[in-house]
Amino acid sequence: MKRRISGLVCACLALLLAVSLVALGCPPQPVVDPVPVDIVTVGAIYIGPIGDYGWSYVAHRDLSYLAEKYDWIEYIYADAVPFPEAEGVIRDFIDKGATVIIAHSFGYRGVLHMLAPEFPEVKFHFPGGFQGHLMPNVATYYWNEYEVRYLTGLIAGKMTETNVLGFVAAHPILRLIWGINAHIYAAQRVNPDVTVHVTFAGVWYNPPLEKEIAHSLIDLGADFISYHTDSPAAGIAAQKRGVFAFGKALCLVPFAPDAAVTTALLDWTTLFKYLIQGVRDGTWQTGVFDWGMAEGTVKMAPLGPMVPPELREQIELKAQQIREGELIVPRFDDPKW
Amino acid sequence: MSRLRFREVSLSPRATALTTLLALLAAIAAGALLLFITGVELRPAAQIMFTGALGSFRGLADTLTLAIPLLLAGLGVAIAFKAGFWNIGAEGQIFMGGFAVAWVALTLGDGLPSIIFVPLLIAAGFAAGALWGLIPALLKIRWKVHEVISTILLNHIAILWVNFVVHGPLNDGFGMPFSPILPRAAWLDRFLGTRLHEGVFIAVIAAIAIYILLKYTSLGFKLRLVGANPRAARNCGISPATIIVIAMIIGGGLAGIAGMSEITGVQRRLLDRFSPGFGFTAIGVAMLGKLHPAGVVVSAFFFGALMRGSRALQTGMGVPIAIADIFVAIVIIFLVGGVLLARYRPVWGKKEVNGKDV
Repeated sequence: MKRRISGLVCACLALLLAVSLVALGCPPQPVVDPVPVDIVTVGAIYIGPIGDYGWSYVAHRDLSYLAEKYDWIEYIYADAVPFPEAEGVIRDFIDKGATVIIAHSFGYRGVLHMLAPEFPEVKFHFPGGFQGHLMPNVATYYWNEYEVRYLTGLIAGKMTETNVLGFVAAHPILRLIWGINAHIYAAQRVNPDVTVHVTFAGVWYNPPLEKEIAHSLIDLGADFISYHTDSPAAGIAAQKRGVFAFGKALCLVPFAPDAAVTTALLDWTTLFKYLIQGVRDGTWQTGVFDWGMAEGTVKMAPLGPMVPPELREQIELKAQQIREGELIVPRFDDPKW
Repeated sequence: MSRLRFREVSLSPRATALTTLLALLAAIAAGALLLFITGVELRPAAQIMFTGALGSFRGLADTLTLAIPLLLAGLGVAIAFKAGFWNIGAEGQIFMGGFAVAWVALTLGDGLPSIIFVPLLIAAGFAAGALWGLIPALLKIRWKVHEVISTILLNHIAILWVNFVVHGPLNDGFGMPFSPILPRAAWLDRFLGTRLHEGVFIAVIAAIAIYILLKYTSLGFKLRLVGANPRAARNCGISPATIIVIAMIIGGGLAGIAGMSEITGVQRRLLDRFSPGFGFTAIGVAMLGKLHPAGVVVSAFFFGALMRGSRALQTGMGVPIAIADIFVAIVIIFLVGGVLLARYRPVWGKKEVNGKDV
């Protein structure tokens, strides 16, 4: 609704401007971009296939969108690149003229650190790093999914009947632990009897294994499944077993219509646009770009019909508070914990 | 009753060359058909594969880099096959070699000079690979456990062992399945800003050494004899068991060095699944090279180019990696299959009494 209104306002303003320009006798100027159109070539590598309907899929979708929208962005990519093969592929991209490298998995970090001094003119990016991982031309970015994990924890804690929740995780890296802990913390705050079982798959993308883990968690009594792996396989397993699930990155509803409670939606367009634009303008600086609900990188999908109205209201209120910065979800390494 | 049979025949060198060439053409045709069906334009695809793998400086260097572990492991497989031992375990031997090297290098730290460190790591890789190759040899000799089964299973153990080690004792503390970077003195140096590293010398020296071993030493003769006819070898006073043990020590050791060169030359750290199946491709390398060291050199280079070219197909043309991988698999099946099956001639007729039936 808000969006539609602002669109309407914009249209009115544009009309007003056009009318006033004509009225003042100015000929309508064609919009000319002041910066000469440099082509910025973005080379992205993904750990999973771009058809994983999750982590790699979403990043590929958003970079493709940017490349289509802005004619100065050229986008090349390679998917299903295992960590040992990353270096060769990135060198390939640099040979092809890529000045922005988005190595879209935490594990590519070491390779970037090895390459960065050799190619000072190329800007390297990888997700999930920290201040200590930065180099003059290596930046790190992430989505603060733990903000939604906090909300899903509240929902699961209130709604669970078995008092057991399941979490399918990939690797025990700190960013995942932020999300897992936010989920556990929130669930136990509203329901002290809750137990959360967390299982690490040891890989980012392996749908049969993700599904298998989800089944074993459900066997332990879990009636809510969360997952932080690259495919929605765990959510699909929840659908099959008739329990609820929280999605990650891509909306879970088409994959598990009855199980999907909500999803931590991921949208890279703003963040990636900001980074690539910086390279084009020459203003790029290294840093930790952790964007969350406030920046629109993370969104909470509409809650499913299984959430009772009272709880729904509370959660939507909290989501709004997080978006507006009134409610700060603590991080695992915060002293607040 | 007459029916279709296959008789083993020996081919003249010219016929061998011809069948290999025909297999290559058929392989390319079948691969092209796959790309055509999936909607890839063939001419640019061929061009990209060629420039990606051979026609550019970096491409050629990358092809050679991939050929190093393929050559070392291929030699290891070839020498075991020569002795009649079906070693499918090169992948596991690579992983154990890589593990030993990383463990030794991280334990010793940065104190040693490169000139001592690197030979020490070569020895460590060899020892670990040899030990891993020795197990199926002993299992076969002592309990008649078939080596195809035991080597395949030992692959899994080795791969999962490395997985455990990089998650646990050798983890770098960031939660991903990686070890810390190895000390600088342990690295094999690279050339001219490419990934090609000093391992290429190790691989070539190994190929020459195996050639001399097989051709000019009595051990090489015994090895070939045991492979060709173990009963005859035993009658000559040669113990097949001893020869198999020696073949697996050398073969496993070479695969271990392949792991060593991959870890110290390319990855510079131990990580989960650091070999994308070099040990399995090495079987094709050895087969296509007809178990001859010079042939293995050529086929290792060919397979390296194929692997590099398929990656170029993905990065250059957006061909899904699955299609590129299927393309490589088709080429391997046609080539190796063609070369192997050429030895069998289809015969329509009654069972022969004196002829060799298969």
